[in-house]
Amino acid sequence: MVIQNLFALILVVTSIAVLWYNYWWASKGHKFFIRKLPALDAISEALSRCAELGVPAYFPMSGGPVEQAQSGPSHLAALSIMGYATKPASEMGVKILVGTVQPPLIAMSDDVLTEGYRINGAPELHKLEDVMYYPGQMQIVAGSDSLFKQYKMASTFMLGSWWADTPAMCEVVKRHDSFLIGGTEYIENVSYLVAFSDYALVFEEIYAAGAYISDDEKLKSSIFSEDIIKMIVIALTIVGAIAVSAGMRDFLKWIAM
Amino acid sequence: MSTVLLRRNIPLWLSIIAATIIALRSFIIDPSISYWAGLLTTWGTVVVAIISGLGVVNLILFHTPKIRSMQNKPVVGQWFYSASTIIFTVLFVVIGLTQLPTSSMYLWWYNVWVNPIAGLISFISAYFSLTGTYRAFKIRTLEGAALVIPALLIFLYDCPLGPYLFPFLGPIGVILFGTIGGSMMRSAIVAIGMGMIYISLRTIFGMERGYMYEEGA
Repeated sequence: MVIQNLFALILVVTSIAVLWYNYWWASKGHKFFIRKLPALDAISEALSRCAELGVPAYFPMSGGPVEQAQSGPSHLAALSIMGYATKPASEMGVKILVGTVQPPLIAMSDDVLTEGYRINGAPELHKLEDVMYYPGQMQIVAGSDSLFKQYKMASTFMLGSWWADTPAMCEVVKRHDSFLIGGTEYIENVSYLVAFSDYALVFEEIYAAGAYISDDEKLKSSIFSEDIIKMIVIALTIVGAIAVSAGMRDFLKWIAM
Repeated sequence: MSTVLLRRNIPLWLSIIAATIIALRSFIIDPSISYWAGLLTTWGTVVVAIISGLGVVNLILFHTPKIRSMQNKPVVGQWFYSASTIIFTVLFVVIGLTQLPTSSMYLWWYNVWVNPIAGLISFISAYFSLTGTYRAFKIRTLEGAALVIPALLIFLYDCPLGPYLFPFLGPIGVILFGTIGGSMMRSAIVAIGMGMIYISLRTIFGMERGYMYEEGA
């Protein structure tokens, strides 16, 4: 048995240790603070717009495969937001339509919506046909345009992993005058979502959404843990830059162990 | 067995075990860990392939009522488009299962029908992207200006004629691309990377439950 990537292993173990320590601290009653994220506060506003107009909300999910390292976590974050959105949606009687290009997301989003609506007392608001499958990135744009013509969705949540179809999809949403809450981790498309959205989540904010919406101190503690590790990484970056500039190139070898 | 156990605890434990084994492969070189991690990854691929069939079921569920009621919404003749979608889906499933996707018949159907239609849809989407970019790059807010002005400078810097006509664009472009853009990109990658690690840990340890069955939890 040989150990490799020792530095990364230390970082992962430290992350888990910090996560559990803060989780324990939160369970003892410690309160954690997360700054305001207007995009997540606007979820109720978006759904109430749909309720006023008597139309559904739309939750398109494009981007990479669920099993991929980068897009998978952001799909999970988007599903979390979808899960939490079912509560106000059930109270207001708003249907959530989903469009996706990833077959596993059909099953996952159907489960989230079925359970979310059922637990919140509105099981009649969801059926499997409300999750639309499109066979490709550009097909979801064309199909969504069609859906907007038919159902006039007043609010759209473009959250999760968004790839090359982002500008076209944003354009379709805005042509139909839909209220847009956007957020992606995909760096190249963050600027599009910021420019188009009424409210936007940028970069890693999408990962903090579950903790923010649930208002659960134990979940909030994980965001605090993330910030601690982020500080460690920033400190290492500064130390590394100074060390390498001073000619101590062994630092690079140590970090790549 | 209770529903909570079946629908939450068992999947959670399975994911903890699978994720731990797959993660260990990155840190420990050991034949048994490599074997089990490879096996679990293959199972994951098989599960995803089986779920892909759900896409077909979903298409049929969505389009069948439109055909049955000869629907003309949202466009005139919608029922015809729905029918053609189902016919082509079934056709491809049948040809794929009986002839294999590498057969000449499958490839003929794919190259003659799917490729041109996919190309056409991509072209239409490119039009939406173009008008969308125009809409995005209108200066209406301070953030909009912060987006447009550097974009315009980069756009001019990237055109061969830009630095020729405006020589000052050279150093500005280098600073925007290399110094500001590069450092911002790296900081974003670090932030996103940390976010990814933590949402994965939260999911693996069952802390992130927005997408999970919560009744009785």
